[in-house]
Amino acid sequence: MKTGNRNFIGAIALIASALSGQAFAQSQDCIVLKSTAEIEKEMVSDQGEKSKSLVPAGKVIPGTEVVWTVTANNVCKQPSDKVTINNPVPDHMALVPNSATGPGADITYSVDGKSFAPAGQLTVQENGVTRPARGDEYKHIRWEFKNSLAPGASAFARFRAVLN
Amino acid sequence: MFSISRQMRRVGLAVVAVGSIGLSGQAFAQGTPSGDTVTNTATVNYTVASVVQTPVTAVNAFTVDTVVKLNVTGGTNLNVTPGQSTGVFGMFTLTNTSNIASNFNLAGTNRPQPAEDQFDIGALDVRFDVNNNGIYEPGTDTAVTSTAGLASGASRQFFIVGTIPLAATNTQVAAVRLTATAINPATSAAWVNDAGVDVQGGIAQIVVATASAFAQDTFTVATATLGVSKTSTVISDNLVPPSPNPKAIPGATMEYAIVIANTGSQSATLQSISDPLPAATTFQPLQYSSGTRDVSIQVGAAPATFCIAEAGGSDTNADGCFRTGATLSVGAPAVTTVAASSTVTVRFRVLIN
Repeated sequence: MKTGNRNFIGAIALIASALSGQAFAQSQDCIVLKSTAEIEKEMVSDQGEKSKSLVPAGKVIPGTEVVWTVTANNVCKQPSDKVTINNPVPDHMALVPNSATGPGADITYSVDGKSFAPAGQLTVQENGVTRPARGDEYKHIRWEFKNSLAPGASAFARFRAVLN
Repeated sequence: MFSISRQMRRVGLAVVAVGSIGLSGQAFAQGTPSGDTVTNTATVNYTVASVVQTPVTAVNAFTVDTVVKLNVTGGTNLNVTPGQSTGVFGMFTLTNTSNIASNFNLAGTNRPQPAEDQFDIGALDVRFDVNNNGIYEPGTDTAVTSTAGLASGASRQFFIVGTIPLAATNTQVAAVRLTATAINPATSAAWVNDAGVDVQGGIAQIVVATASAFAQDTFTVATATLGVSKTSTVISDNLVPPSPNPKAIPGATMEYAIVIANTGSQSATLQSISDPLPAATTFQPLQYSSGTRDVSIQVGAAPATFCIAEAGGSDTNADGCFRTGATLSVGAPAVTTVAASSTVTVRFRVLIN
């Protein structure tokens, strides 16, 4: 993937939509949404101090844990309210239980994509018996941000998943 | 990795959750295949001044890279006999645990003495279990040095076959090893770890987690080991009255006991025991079983059995015992086998001339 070209095309698309908005009095999106895939790498400094940092996910093989981060940036002059991010766990991946974070958000999950509940309250059917769903069985994550997103501010959502 | 922001123009209700939900796909036993794309789709819903806005979606993806892994299992032991040349085989299972199909080179080797075992098998060969039945069939199972096109998660069975040296002795062990090395079908050479810059998408990069693996089987010699000893005891000097501690004087009766001991771990089949009587002695018949039998045979701890050792060189009553001149012969059905860790004792008496 050539990120340079993608940026360029993305920029063109935004400019185009903004121009068309002015011409036809349509509003542009107030939120710019980005999603990234990273892995956590342990670094050792020259003094032998260990630290962890997130780097773009490069060689991803079964068993690799990927950190997905979604940011919602308010690019309008008005606040955005009731900001909700929905993110299905990608195919071929299993959610790392308790890894979803998002400052200022109520986080709920779903197994079927229709009904959402906080962690620990979902159930699944197995061989005709209902049992609590395990954290790695959650298939969708929802972040409902409690406060308005001020102009220029960003809301932030993150979760980890392991490649099957 | 930056996302592309796309507008989803929907009239009416805002869409809550869109994207790669789907039904759960195939579960891949050995992990998601190399080259598959994994896509994340995030959607944001929001209002501005209480007006519901068009949802915005962000998508980004990565390519699943190649991981090369394999394992070989073995660990079987086969009991063999010295000089055995058929049915000497140890089984191994090779599994491709990569997330991509691979070829493998195969090498079978004897382990070194004395560090790891006591002997080498001869004519060592690696054979492919063509019909996957776990039994080495010489006509069917071909000799191989490699195997190709083993799918991700799939296994194949192989044998190491050979012969046991005649000089191998009871309890000696030969260990053999099967080593498999993963070979890239595209290059016909070992897979090479991609040392280049990490790339998130595009062609799958190669991670070699395990380049080669091995397992070992053993062959243990389990055979009979026979030893023979002969003792003599003076039964009576036949004087009147007989002496309390009789000596081996002319006219005395001597009992000979031939003990055949099997110190091995397998029973031995005896064909016959022959004993030429010493010169200056005469065979004494009817010394056993209340004067009705010539020879006593004791197998292990069982009660003694008896036979008649006819003179004249032929076993006319077919009880297993006869004499040819001065030689006593004892065989089946009087004596057939000596069990492992057991003895057979043959007793007979002579008169000292």
